[in-house]
Amino acid sequence: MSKKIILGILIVFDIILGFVLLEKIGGAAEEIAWIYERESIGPSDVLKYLDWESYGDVASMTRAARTGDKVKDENRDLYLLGEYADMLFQEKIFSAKGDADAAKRCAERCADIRATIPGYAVVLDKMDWSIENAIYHAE
Amino acid sequence: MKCRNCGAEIGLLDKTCPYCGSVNVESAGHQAEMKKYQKRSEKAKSKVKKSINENVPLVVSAVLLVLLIIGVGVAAYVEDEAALFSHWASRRDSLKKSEEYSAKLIEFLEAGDYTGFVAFKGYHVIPEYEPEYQEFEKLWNIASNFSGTLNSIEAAVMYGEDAPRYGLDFDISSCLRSIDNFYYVYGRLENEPEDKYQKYMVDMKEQMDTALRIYLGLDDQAREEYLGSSMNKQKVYLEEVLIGE
Repeated sequence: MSKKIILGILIVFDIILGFVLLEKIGGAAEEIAWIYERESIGPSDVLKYLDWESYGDVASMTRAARTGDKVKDENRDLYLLGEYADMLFQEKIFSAKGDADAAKRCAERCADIRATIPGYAVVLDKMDWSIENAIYHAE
Repeated sequence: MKCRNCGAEIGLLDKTCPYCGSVNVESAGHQAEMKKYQKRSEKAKSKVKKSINENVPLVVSAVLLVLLIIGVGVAAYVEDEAALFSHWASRRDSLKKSEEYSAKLIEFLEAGDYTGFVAFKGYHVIPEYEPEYQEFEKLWNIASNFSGTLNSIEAAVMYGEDAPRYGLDFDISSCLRSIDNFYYVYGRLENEPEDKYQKYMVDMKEQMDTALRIYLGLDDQAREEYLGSSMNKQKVYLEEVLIGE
């Protein structure tokens, strides 16, 4: 086999491996950067529970987002929906317990979220209904 | 060497004898030989250079190939073990930033946001047994039980009108176990010597009592009866409230 052919083969392999390496570096960087989202609260899981109208699950799954978890911009709305459900759930507890300040904080956050994602008003209304329904059933 | 004419000592490269002036025949031959060898040497050198130049791209490509293979291997390993690397990095970070994180944890406690307290600890991989975070030692256990119990109740009661409720059985058994665990752990910790965070523990219990009251219909008396009853009775009660059976 002539040197030129060997060189040609090597260059082809170099180029292929170069692309593979770039792809792998990108993948590794993404895995490290978005690890929590990928490991625990993947957007697909959140969407699944939203489809099932299991708002309590959505709330607890997305909780880390309000404690420092990095969330991709494209998934931000999903996590806000979860936060809304969580705040709603806690607001009722604080109100019933007589902790007015905490209840007010939760209510204000709910109002903020409603204003931030007006396109999800129907889902947010369903969450409101679910919490009222839960309280009604327990009475 | 010696001059053939006068016999004086002369150098090999002397063209003529410096003493008698006669021509040094051997020097001419030697120089001719030298030129020939130099020429050959130059030829050999340029041949080697040419050969090296020809092989440089081949060697560079081969070395690059080896480096790329190593690089792909390392990147694939990092990608696979990303969770582990991230976990270690977060853990190291949480030790470095212990003052900042402790202040944040206290903020959550002050706000009565114990689920946030637990989520923050989990997200930042705070090592609970390290001296930097030992002040919260007693709270970790009860707070994680508190958070888990609220999660269960939240999942069991917060569903939409058209929800298929696939996980209903799981939600009920999860509520059953976690409520029991929370009050068991609280009862155990309540009898331990008080520390400066005792008030948060008491507040968690009050929040839990309230959650059970508003979401599961268990007022103080009903809660005591519920906790004192058998698991079967507890399950029947939860099914009644959560399914309406």
